[in-house]
Amino acid sequence: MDIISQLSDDLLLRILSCVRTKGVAATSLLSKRWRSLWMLIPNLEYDDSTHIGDYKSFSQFVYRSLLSNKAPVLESLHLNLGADCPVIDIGLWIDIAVSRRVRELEISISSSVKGSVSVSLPSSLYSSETLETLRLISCVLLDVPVHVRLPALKTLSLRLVDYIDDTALPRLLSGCSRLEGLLVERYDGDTTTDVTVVIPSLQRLTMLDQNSGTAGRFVIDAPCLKYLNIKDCVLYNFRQIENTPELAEAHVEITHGATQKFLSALTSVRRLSLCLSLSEKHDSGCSAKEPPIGWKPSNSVPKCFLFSLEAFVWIGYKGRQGDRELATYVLKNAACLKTATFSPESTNVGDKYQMLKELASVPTASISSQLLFD
Amino acid sequence: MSKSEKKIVLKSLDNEAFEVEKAVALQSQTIWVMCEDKCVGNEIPLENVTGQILAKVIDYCKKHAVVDGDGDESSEELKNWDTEFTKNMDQSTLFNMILAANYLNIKSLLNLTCQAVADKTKTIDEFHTFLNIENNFTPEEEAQICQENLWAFDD
Repeated sequence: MDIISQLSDDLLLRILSCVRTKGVAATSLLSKRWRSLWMLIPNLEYDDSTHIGDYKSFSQFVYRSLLSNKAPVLESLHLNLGADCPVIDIGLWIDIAVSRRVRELEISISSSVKGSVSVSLPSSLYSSETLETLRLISCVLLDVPVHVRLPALKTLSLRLVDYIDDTALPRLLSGCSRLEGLLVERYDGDTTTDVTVVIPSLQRLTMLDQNSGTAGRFVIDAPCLKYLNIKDCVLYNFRQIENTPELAEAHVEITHGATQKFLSALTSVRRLSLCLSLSEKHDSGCSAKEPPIGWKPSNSVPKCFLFSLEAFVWIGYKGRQGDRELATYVLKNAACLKTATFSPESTNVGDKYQMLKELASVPTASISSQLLFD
Repeated sequence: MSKSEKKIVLKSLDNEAFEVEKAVALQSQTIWVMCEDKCVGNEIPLENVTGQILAKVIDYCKKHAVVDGDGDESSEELKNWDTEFTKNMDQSTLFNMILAANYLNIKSLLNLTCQAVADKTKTIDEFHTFLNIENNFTPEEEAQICQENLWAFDD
């Protein structure tokens, strides 16, 4: 008994949705039942890197299958293209998808060795009524039109894309009134200097920037933010984050210019990982001497130490005078602490033993706290 | 909630009974609705699922109930578990799992099993054999479809 005949078209389409579009089209050859089933598939994915031979046959196939698609709702279109793909085709495919009221678009254009020019996308993209997720990757140029309206957009991911000027990103964001998740990853040749994220609805923000030069302003104003991940080594002239009362989790890795004022916006977090240099001035060049750790105990013990802090992890513990003072302060004051983990930088057994001995001798505020050392 | 209310009995098509935690069973939207409606007692008959398949579904739900409850306890580990879970299932088990996940309305399990079938059928020949589909085209019809979708068949 052919078990697959028990599966409804709906379930077959679910299986087909997991197959690449190219393979899906091939199923038209399976049997009469399958001949037109693939045209109902709601998820389309085209990848020209799996294509051998004439580019024309690839683009013809994309046009044909896009135009013959009859899914009641076009859920997603993923385009993974090389630099050879004609700009005019990319534009038309996006136009078709937007007019089919697509909900998710992912466009990845890989750069060729020649240092290719980034591709502009059609303006229809910036006024889609239905788009919920937009992911742009690599050689895409954001030349955002004056009027942007993406009322359904919830997730936006911009990885290694180009911006036509400093105002492109804020202009795009200003048209996304319901945006909840934003990822911006900038590459090291990016010449725009400002990062301004002002989104009242934003809940999750990830900003990655490997650019090691200097830049202008870095401003985040997102009062509903729940999750924050910043990793950058840019020297901004001005860095600011507005208060985020709902922030629950933050990972911050900033090489230059994470001031106390900047960090004080993170007061409500429940999970926090920090990797930063607190010095406000930036010394250029390598110095052989390690700067002393810049830490002073505050006048009163922070509330989170008294009422909530349960886990504390210190990676790369060096055991210097300042390190010891800070570690001692945490162990002495964190009343709810369950685990304190120290991973020493040194591999020398003698040094490690000495550090462990010092830490173990500190009287802890929490009775149930456990000291872990590895 | 008393202890007995926390447990629930699921009865398969072939009358095999499974006692499970309510939190585990409620990952099935179908069971959730049945419990909400209070149209069933503590024992829920599942007329479309055999005991052999139901046991696997419960394994899946148990694994996912524990991890979901415990915050982000390594989603990597859960992914690996999922892969292992479907890796050695034969065609008939996989399809029965799809039917069961669909009937019980467990979205993540449905996605997982559909993906597993897709992963096992990468070429058109694999489709034919794995899905056991008889080709009922005439050679002329087949040639015409090939011509229409030339690009899809070039390798």
